[in-house]
Amino acid sequence: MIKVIIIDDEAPAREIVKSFLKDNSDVEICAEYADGFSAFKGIKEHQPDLLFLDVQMPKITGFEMLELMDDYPEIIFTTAYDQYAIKAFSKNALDYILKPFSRDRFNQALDKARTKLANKPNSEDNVSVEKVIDSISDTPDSIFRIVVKKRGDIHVIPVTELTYIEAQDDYVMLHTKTDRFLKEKTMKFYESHLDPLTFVRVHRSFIVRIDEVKRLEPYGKSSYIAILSKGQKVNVSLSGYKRLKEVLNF
Amino acid sequence: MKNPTTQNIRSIFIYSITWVIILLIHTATLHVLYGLPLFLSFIDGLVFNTIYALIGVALWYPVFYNDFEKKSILTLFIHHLSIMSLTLIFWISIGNFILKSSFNTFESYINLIENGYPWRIFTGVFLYFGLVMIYYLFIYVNNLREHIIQESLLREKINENELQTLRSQINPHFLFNSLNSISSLTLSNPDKAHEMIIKLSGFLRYSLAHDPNNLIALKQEIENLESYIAVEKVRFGNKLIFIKEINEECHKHKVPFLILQPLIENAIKHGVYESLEPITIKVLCEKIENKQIKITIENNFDPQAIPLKGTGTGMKNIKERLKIIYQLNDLFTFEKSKHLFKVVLVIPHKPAFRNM
Repeated sequence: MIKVIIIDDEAPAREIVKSFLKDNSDVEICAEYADGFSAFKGIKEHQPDLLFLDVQMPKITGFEMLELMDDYPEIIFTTAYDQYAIKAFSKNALDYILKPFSRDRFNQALDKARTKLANKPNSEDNVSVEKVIDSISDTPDSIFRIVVKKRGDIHVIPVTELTYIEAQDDYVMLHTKTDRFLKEKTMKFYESHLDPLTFVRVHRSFIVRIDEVKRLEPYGKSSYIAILSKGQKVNVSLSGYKRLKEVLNF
Repeated sequence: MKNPTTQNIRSIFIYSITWVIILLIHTATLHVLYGLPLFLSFIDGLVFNTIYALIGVALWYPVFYNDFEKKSILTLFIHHLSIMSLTLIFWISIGNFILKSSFNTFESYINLIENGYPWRIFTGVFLYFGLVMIYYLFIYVNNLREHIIQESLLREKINENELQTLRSQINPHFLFNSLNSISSLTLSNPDKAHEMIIKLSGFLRYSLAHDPNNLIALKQEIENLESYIAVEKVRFGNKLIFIKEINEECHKHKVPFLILQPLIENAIKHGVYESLEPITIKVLCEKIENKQIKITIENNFDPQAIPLKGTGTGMKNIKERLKIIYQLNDLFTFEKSKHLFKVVLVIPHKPAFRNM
């Protein structure tokens, strides 16, 4: 039996997936969700083999939901129109179906998933999902929110609440005024997707919000320490100092 | 450009009246200052001024072909000096000839003619300059007026182009998702699918059929909104609630084509798309002062939803469109409170340019 979860915010869209699945006796629909929040919890609970996942949904997108997961089932993306997503899919040869889709196209995607599930019970296939997410991140747009997970809860942080970002091995620590969150992303990603006039990479390991910097103190021969509004100390390298100087015009 | 003295009856009349006045001054001067009998003074004026009036009509052409913007001052000066000399010689000799042959018995008058050359030349030069100046002024004013018309035409053209780019386009995301809903309904509920196709076609036809730069009655704009919302309602069900309160008086008021749909689309995008709870979209319209109407669009939203992307280009476009069409600022305002987003449009009675 293939356990399936359908995630789409529009009822008719879920309806047609269900109706196309009905003819397949080897498929069991264990749940359907209209948003990424509840779907995230439902996936943990049901441990499905296959997801039909829409991209555009309330609160968090399908991609943001996947970012929160440690490992994923097989995924068939369903989307109507999203230039970036389509580009990301086609680059990484993962199956996706464009709405509206024919029964044939749907069955083709389902067959693909069926074969994958039969042959190699997860493993490197997940890499392609990661690639899709990565290439979505490649888009030049600035981000306005970051979705994180802390003790099982999902938090959506508006970028306006970020104070600074600190590198921690393969992760980054996102600091807000009241809390901090660990996220599996690179410093480079945030450096290129945050507004360069608001956030400055002051050090290999730090990106700070400019308004947060209260003063700079010399540290050693050629570097500085930035004191932030709550007294946190952040290293500033020589090149970071130059960048700060450029943005702040001092 | 036509000769300003003879382009129509009115200009011929004005030109003649002017010469009659000059004739009267001429007669009075000869009679009072030189003691010439009134009759002779009048005849003298009549002969000389009639000749000059005829020459004056012809003088338009050298002025017209001696454009002061294209020729050097020196050329102009030489041209006019020679034309003026010819004019004076012609004018004085013809005039003198007629009068001398008609009144050769009046000795004192013949004397006056013989000694009157400096006076005639002075008058002739004065009249020449007067006429030429008036002609040049006429050309100048005419050019200026044409220039202004050209400029406003050009500006309208530019505005039109801007409007083309500002007008909202059918959102492909909406279109494909609606088609997907329809495809789903064809299996589960063919009647509803049919109804949705009709609504969607209505909306598409409306969007494509009209000239985007035209104005349209509010009633039609609202009807189109209802088709659009009906389609969205199939997609989102009870999550989308639509309420309209349109004052009867507003129905016929002309509004820019598809000015409301992008705002409703915005409300759906930031309200319905991002929320798990029902969202109410309200459209209110009432008549206000100066024959204007005030349209209010408000929607609640999930205050915890954080937009994926920055907002505002759609609304900026609406603001720009209104500004171009009515040439007025501040027709578009919006406010955002904790749970409510509200947009207010004020639509004037008439657009700034007539041809819209």
